[in-house]
Amino acid sequence: MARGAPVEKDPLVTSTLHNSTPRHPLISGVFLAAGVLMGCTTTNPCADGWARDSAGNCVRFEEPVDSSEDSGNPADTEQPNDSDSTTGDPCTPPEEGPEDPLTDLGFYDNLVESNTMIEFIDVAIDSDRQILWGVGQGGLMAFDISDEQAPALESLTPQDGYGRYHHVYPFPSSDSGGGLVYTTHRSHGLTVFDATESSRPQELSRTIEANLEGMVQVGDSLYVAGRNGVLHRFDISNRTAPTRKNSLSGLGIPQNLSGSVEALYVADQEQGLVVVDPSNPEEPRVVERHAIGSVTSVSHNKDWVVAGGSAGISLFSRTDPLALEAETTMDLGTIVSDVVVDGDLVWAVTLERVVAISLTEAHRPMPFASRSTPYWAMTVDAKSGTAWVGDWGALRGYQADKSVSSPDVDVQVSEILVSESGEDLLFSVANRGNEALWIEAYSADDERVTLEIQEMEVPRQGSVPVNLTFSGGELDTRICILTSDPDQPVSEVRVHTGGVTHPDIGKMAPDFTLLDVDGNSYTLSDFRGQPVVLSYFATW
Amino acid sequence: MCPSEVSEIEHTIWRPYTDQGVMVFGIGSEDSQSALLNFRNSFGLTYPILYDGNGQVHAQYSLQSAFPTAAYPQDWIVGPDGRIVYANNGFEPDEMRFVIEQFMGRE
Repeated sequence: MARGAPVEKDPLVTSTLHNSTPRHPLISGVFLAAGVLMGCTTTNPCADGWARDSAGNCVRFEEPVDSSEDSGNPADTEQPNDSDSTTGDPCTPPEEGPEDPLTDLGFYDNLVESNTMIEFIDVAIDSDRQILWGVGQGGLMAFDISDEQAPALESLTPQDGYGRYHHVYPFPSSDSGGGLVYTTHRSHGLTVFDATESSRPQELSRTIEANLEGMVQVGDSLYVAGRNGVLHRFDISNRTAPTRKNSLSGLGIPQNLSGSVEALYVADQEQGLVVVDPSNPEEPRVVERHAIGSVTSVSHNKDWVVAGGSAGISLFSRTDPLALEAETTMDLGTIVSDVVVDGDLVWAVTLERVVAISLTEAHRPMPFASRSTPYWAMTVDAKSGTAWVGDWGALRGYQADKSVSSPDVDVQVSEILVSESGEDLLFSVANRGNEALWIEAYSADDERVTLEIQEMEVPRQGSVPVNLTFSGGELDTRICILTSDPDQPVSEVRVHTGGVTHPDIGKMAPDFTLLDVDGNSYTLSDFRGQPVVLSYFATW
Repeated sequence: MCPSEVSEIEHTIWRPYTDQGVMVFGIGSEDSQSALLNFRNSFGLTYPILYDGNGQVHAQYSLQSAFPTAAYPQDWIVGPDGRIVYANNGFEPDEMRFVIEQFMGRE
């Protein structure tokens, strides 16, 4: 139970750690959940089977019975550092291990290399034609996904003016609109493309409606979320020339929707999950509001409605499509950007991870596979166990195999700032999976840093604290934690003094005086004596 | 994703820390003033949204050279002494809270 077969080297994880250059040194890690405990100086005994070595780290002195394979591990014989555990260098993933339920397919990021950010906002699989449609900063993009190992960009149709297409809907070939693609835009409105030739989409028409977001087709009606609190209905009996018919108002900030002729499910950033009865298309009405925080996306199948947002993943039983029953909510540790139901799988993306969840035991859904994404994952669409995830820089494919169970452990910190006068602090190793996991080894490269972990077993859906003590001075080092998680066996945490490594850190902030949108004047230097957060943003 | 980012700044940084002396400014230089106003209103943001119409502040903070892309958001934290203590071209609210907490702890 302590450890199965030695852990497989995960190509994606190792490349993240050693080869790729993240856009920013901070962006590759999972979220920072360190809580500072000032003045905590107790020395705790190691867990059973572990002992403290000369560097103060707990190391395993008693090998588990099933670890005979370890003898072939070159890391064992090298023993690069006395402070490492006897199971090998915590910074080097062991050679073999359990099968990973998530397989990496191909990816496409050539646009990044050519210095044009893709920044996907939405992707939609056109399965009849093996085309994946994407929208974002670059415009409307078509990718040939017939070869899952090598998605290829077929066309990129830029949009004119400011802003970006936000959502995309390719009509299925069985529909009279087959070959057409709709996009929505916050200022262009609804745009119709003739995409019969996916390599050369032609704009046919556009309606100027502001603030359009997600859309869903129900027969000859297209329902479109409007950020200004409305749900629009377009008559699309003429697929090439949609006309807006009526709107349902009283919503908050609808972002996306899913639905059928029986019921519409609106992801509303203010009101939560809103259920709309469309039986009279001229006058759709709200029948339910489920206040589950800010909801950014929603998807459904015959039995389930799945909403993603600030609360994580919320699952509703759809026995009565207009009277949903809340089943359960699963916290993924951060806001869910997008979610899609794919058979009895749910795919979700947070800014940091793609997660596959099984609906087989819907009362107790469990993530069985996850992968960290090097850039922000924004959007996902999936068919038949294959998911395509659009992030800031690339399109990435994943395939999930539910028959392989996977643990999922995260070291919930990627970088720790410590004071030059020394510090004691806590961070945690969390297990979001359904099996107990083990911390196999841990080490610190610098002798002034000591780690204490009392419990080596990380219970399912639980976490264990790691106590880090730094004696002081200037520091820039790393600690490594090796766990039995096949997805990400090695977690590296940078520990350093002196703030984040940015050339401007430590410089005086340039002063400025600006007016706010209400006409009030603010000068930065007036706020001397208090910390000031400057958040540069764009509304698109 | 802008919507969840500004909401998260509003709810997890501005509101919890404003009573403890933390100031937050949203700054937009690529949108019109009215677009910023609408954005502020539709997200119910209560921290000041500054309009950097000619991109002057944006340029001062040397973002083009400091970050490999001009992508948004770009978050900076200026310490009580007026020095830049944090800069990030990726949205990491937990890190920002961590940095802010360090000032809380030292006061």
